[in-house]
Amino acid sequence: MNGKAALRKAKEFITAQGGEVAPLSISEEELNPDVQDDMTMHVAPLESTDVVYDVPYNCHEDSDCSELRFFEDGRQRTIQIGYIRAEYGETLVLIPVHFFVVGAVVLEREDRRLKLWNRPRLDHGIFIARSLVPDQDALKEFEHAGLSIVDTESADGVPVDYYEMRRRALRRAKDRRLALEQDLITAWRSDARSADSFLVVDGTLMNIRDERSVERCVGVSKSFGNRYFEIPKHNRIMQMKECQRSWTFRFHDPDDDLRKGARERMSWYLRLRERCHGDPEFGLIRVEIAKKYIDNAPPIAQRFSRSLLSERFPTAYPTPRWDKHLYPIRGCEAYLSSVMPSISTITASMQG
Amino acid sequence: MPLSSFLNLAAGTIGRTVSTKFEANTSSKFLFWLGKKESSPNATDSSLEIGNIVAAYSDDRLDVTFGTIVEMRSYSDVDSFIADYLSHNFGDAAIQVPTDVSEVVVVTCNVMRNLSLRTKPIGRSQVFFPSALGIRYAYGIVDAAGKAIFAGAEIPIGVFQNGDGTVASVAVDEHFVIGPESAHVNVSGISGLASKTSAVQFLLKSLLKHTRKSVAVVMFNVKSRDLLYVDQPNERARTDKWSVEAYKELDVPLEPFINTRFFAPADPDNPKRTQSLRTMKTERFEWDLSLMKNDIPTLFDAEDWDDKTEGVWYRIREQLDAGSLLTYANMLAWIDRTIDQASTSNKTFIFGQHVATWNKVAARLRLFPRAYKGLIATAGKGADIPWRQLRGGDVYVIDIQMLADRAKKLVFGRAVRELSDLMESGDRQLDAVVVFVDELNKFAPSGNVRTPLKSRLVDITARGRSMGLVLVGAEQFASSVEKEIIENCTTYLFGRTEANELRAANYAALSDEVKTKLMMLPQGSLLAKFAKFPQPIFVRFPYPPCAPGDQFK
Repeated sequence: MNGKAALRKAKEFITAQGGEVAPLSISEEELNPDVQDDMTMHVAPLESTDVVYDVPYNCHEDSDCSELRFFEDGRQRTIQIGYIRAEYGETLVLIPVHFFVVGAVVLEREDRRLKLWNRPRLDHGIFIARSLVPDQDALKEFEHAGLSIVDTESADGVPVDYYEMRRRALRRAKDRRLALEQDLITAWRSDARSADSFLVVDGTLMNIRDERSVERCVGVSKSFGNRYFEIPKHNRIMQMKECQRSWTFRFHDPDDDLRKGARERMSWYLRLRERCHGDPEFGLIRVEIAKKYIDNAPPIAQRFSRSLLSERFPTAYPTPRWDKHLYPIRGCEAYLSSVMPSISTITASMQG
Repeated sequence: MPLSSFLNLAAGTIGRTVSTKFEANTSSKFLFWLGKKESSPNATDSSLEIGNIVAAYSDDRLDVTFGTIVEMRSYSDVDSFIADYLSHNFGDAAIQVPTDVSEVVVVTCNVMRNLSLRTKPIGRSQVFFPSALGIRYAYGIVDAAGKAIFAGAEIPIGVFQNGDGTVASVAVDEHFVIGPESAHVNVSGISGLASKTSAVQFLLKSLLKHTRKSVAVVMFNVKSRDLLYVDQPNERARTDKWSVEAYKELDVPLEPFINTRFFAPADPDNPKRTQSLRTMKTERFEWDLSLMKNDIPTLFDAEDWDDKTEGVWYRIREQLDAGSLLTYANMLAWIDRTIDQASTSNKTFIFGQHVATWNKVAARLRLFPRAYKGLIATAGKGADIPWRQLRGGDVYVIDIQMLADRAKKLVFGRAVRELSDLMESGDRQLDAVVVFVDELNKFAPSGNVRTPLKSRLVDITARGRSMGLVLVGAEQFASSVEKEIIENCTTYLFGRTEANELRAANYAALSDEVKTKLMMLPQGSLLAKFAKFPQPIFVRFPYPPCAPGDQFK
């Protein structure tokens, strides 16, 4: 079912359930900006934390030295398109209905030009607390007709309120988007064309559970919500100059047990641009790669830092955070925006 | 006929139509972006240029819309100049960035025709180059079944070469070139580079070959030896491969004009010869008093021709009509005698006019044989151009290059009047006479000044189509020719044109990009605008079939 048909079916679904088609003109992602990917981690330095390191990079000679050819990003759009009113005994329940569209794409650079690597992944449908839908037969009919209906209820089945249902819709969208991205990265990994290449992934690699997929990925995080080192050391990172990197370190989720195969990554910070008159995080990114490189951390960090410094041009100006945004990643975003129905299209489809 | 036959599918898809929130496709215009060359390996989409024709094949496969490219713009996602400056490490022009910024070429097309013949905005479509059939359909030369739809014969004017290399013959409708529906052709362009004369020679050769009517051609050679060897072959055309193929494709014989006669004013020093620069046979013409008595008033300057002068002329004309004066010399002698007699008898007035006026008129009349050198036979019998011998297929070349502007106007004006009389007479042998004159601006300049010749030309272009008198005019600047004449033409051919001229109202309908192309147009190419064409078309024409005068040895 294509996007247009899914939108039409979603509208019919609400009507069939006696609900109200009442689209919001703003997505849940905009209403509740996603929590930072940067999580609380257990870290262990792999190099001395007393100094920062110069990356051997000459702006003139190395401006085209990047070895990176593949870039991945995903996007999600979740918008409340209406609600269904249901009465269970004396209790009136309002069930929000969300339309979602998630997508992931890998772009390949060849002869300095970006193009699609393979087909992008796109998924759309509706989120709803499934068991609360009054007319279950109609629900199955719509599902049978091809409408993807995703349950937002938790496994324990504990009833939640309207607001929690909305938050869950947002989380489900993120889950589906990450699943789509993982699926795409797995396919990329299996492609002979990419055998010797690394894939730049927008954001942390901690969301990728398949370690084989992570092995040839370079994660680039642009925003940070946590400090992993003591304040003086962290401030040393914040004071880094252009073309300097921090010490490398390994980290894992404190809730995961390494002995039981917890996800662990190697990482370092890198200053892409001079921060003259800028804030301490101007041009600062955190790079992640698979833990298999831990034994060879410094040269690996130098190698990818050089490539990423090369990738800072052309800039993605004037996008927000353009100082850390890689132009090919912006290309991924622009592509996905062009193939995913816009909020105004979704809203108009519901009203029309 | 399947819609795909209107497309050159082998060249691949060259783009996709697009509209945005801010730029809509309309029933008269559509936009498309140019695809990557890789997407159509056999295509030469990079050779697309202004003036090319494209065909938008609707996604529902129910319609094909043809458009001519009037604008091409290259967009990138660079938000501002400063963004690109930043992208080069704050202004370091030497650095190479690993990724080229995304760029897209958006092409604007003016809608020509569509197969559904419905006036509507274009929908989502794939864009192809049209086939030769598609090109001819787009220009309204054939219908959807591929059959010619002109009322008259097809008169090829050149070939159109599209970006993919497809070549299609371009023709105009005989009924709109020589009547009766409409008529007249105008060619403009800067001297030397616009190939105006060559284009007209090819057009006339094509017309004489393809017309179904009895048509004669009269050419005026107004400068140099331009038209003095139209009866001689053009070796350059015969040895140029492209020209040879073009003549074959357009079914025009690559041979000079036949049934030609060349006329020039007599040489006053040798009455048996002419003043022509042509070294081969020419026929002389000069007018004795009986042939030109009606034209004598027009020989005077406008400021000389007042009531008093007209009064004197009235008395002279009485004598002419009475048959007492047979030659120009007789007339001058009679005037001298009349003035002498008045002087002898101390008369101040002769037939009511002052003797000074008589003297002035006599002086002017004495001057005319020199001013209009070779045109006025002062003694003996004159010889006019034998207009009534004109037959279908005949070509008369009148050489007037040696004459002063006033004399040129006299010859041209007389010719137009004679031809008008001929075509309006009941016993005419011809359906049409095509009159070709270069430097039309000299005979019918733009502006408020009215002259009898200009008024006559305006009249001919306004109603000549019905009587079969057709004007093919050429000039450097269309804006320098009387507006009414230009507007009455059905076919316009524009050669290379200067920027200043392109600002004139005559070119207002052309896009800036088309004007830019006009400024750089190579020799042998013209922009053709024809009443039945939905859009102007750039055509290429071969070397002329006859020897260019300046190259003939």
